[in-house]
Amino acid sequence: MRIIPHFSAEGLSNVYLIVDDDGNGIIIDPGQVDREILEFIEHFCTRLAAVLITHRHESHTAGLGTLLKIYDVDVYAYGKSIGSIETIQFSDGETKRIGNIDVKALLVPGHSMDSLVYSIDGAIFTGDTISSGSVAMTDSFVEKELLIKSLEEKVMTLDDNTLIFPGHGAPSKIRIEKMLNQDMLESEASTTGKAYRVH
Amino acid sequence: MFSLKKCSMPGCHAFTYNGGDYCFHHSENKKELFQNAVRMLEKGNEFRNISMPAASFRNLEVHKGGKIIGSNFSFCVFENCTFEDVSVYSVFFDFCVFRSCVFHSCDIRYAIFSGSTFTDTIITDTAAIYSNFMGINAENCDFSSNDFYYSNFSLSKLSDVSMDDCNLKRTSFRSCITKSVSFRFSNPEEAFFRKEEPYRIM
Repeated sequence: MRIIPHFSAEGLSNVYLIVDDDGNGIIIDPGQVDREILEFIEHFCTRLAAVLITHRHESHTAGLGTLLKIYDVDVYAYGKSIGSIETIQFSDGETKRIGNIDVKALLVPGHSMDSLVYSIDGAIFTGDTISSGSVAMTDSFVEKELLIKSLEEKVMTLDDNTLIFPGHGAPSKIRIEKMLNQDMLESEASTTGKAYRVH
Repeated sequence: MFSLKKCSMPGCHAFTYNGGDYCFHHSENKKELFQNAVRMLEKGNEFRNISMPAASFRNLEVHKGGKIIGSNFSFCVFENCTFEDVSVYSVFFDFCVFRSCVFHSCDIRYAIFSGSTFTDTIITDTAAIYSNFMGINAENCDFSSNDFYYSNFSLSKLSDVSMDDCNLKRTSFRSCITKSVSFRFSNPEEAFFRKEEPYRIM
């Protein structure tokens, strides 16, 4: 399996192309479909099998229309549709086989109520829920608590070596986030009353 | 990307060396694998999809113009190693030790150096973009003339580090501890800093 990250200058987000051993490709969060990502698809894939959407925000979906004009491909998300585009829905904890790859979806609400984290093999694609060193912006403290609780229950319980590919910024690992994610550490400190130090 | 298959040795959670049954340390021919890896790094044009955590590299001179892609070097030690004109894409160097190493004219993207220690190490004329330097401990290092666009140095400790003439647009230094760090001719105003107390101590 190949994981090819691509930086999208519009929205400053990461688009990921995953290719299985038979050349089936999966695009995660097509925030922008530019020449480079199309060249990756044409070079590495024999066919594009699916598009996975972590959540409906523009910086993760703006290129979806362009992609669907070029490729006849299924779109997967938590909600029934992305704009006018119908999706195949994932429910929390559900696993679907796409090409030769098992994709498991974990619902991690907070940043948006439709935020999914996709778990593929030993890697997770977290969209905006968690990125290296921080968690997503939320509209209120209630949503922040919901997000952190979901992350603690569903994401931080994964194996320490699990690779994290976020929607924005550099990749990471669960081990790194357990030690250095300041938002998670601050939340833990505020709920347990225990102080933390990182150095 | 390196194989995400786990080692068959009971209790071992490490990734396999290159998709076989065992990780680097539980492979019977560990010495041979290490020598092959060193040969590939020094002589080959491309080092791809290999996972060899906690290995020690000394006096390594990575092949000029070579590419290191989708590999895992977590917990490795690099001493007196030179990376000149090397492309490094999606490579994990988390919790490594870099001592007296040189990265010159490299193209580094989506690389992870989190939790690593850099001592007497030089990174110059290098593009190190979209990369993760979170929680690094750098001492007496020269990180000048680099492009650190959208890289993350949050929670790191930089002591006697020169970051002169660097592009720091969208670079994060959130809760970074800095001592004798110079940003001459760089653009720290375009980087992200957080001014609160970085951490509370009991």
